[in-house]
Amino acid sequence: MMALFLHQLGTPAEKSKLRKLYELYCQNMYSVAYQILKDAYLAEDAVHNAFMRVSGCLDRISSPEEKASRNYLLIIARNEAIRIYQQNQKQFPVEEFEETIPDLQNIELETESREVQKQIFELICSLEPIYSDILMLKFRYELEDEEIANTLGITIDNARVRLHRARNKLKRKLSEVYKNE
Amino acid sequence: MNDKQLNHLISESLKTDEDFFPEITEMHTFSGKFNRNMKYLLREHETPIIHTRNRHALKWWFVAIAVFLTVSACSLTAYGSKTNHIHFFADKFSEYQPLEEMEEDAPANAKLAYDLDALTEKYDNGVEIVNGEQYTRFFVNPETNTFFEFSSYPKIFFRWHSSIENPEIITLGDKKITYFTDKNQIHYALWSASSTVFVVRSDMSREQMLQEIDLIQIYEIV
Repeated sequence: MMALFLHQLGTPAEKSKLRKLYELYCQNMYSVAYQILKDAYLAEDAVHNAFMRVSGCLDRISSPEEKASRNYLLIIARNEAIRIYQQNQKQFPVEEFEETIPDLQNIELETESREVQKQIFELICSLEPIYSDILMLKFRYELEDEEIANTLGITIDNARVRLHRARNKLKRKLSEVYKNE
Repeated sequence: MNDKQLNHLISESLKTDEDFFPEITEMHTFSGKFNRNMKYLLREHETPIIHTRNRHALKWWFVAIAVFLTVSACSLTAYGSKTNHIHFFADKFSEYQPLEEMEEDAPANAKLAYDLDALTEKYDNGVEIVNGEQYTRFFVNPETNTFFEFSSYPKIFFRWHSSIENPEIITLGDKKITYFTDKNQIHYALWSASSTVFVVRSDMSREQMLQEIDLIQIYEIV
């Protein structure tokens, strides 16, 4: 199976890119995974699985040295760690049901303003990792729902639900922030 | 702000050069397994080692093993169907739970001689096996229609196996077969050869079963 995987890995350029990503971000990916799992071996598993996933979407990475590439790999590693954590817990965290979706119609924001963008960025970073990550994949890396599902190792339906919840959570935070201002 | 504007705002906000993850400077020494596994992942045309902790890779190995076992089972089933569902198990009665077991502390030789003499005289049927210190005799009691196993090793014991019907001794070529049917209408045939007890169980008819047994030579060699 692994041989098949290597065969599918493709061109020497792709292999070289994967190697470069490994050299640059392996340690960072491990640290991110370890923060969640608190177990060295499980964290290594998460990093390994993450590289397996990365190898399937190398075309998404234009240059390994870019900050965007680092973020992309760390998102994958973090979600892989969360997945392993949930598997080991044998239960999934129960997410609260949001009865109301905040209405942002009354909020007018200057979307091109650098200050506003920075504030939104900070709000996204303050979300739970699974929500901030999926927003990154959708809006920063412009992945389709199916690609997000493959990247995170979840079903397409789960990806859509998670994305929906992430947007609602962000809306809620936006609503709270701008009502107070 | 509508949804479209929000999407645009999110998209623009995330395209900044801000650090989504903080800078990490910690260095970890990876385990040998991890390094080996990554080496195989990154190299081309090299036979990988199974990473025992890698569930993802292991999963596919398990699938491969499961496929292999399934194919093997199908092959054996197909072979079994050619022999009309005859099942062999020599010296093994794992599917029988002993309902009663009598163990004796008396000297093994004395007890063995007494019991065997008595039993052999009383029930002139069954098959026996002598294997080193172990003497085992399988026989049926036509009075009670029960199937017994008598063994001298490691302790003398007497094991009642199953209620049976119509036990009989059948001579088939050089095989002296003890034949009976249990309460579930499963037919059994026992005989010994080359210091091995052969037990055949089948749901086919008596005639079919005996025909098959008559043809069986290869199993005795095995």
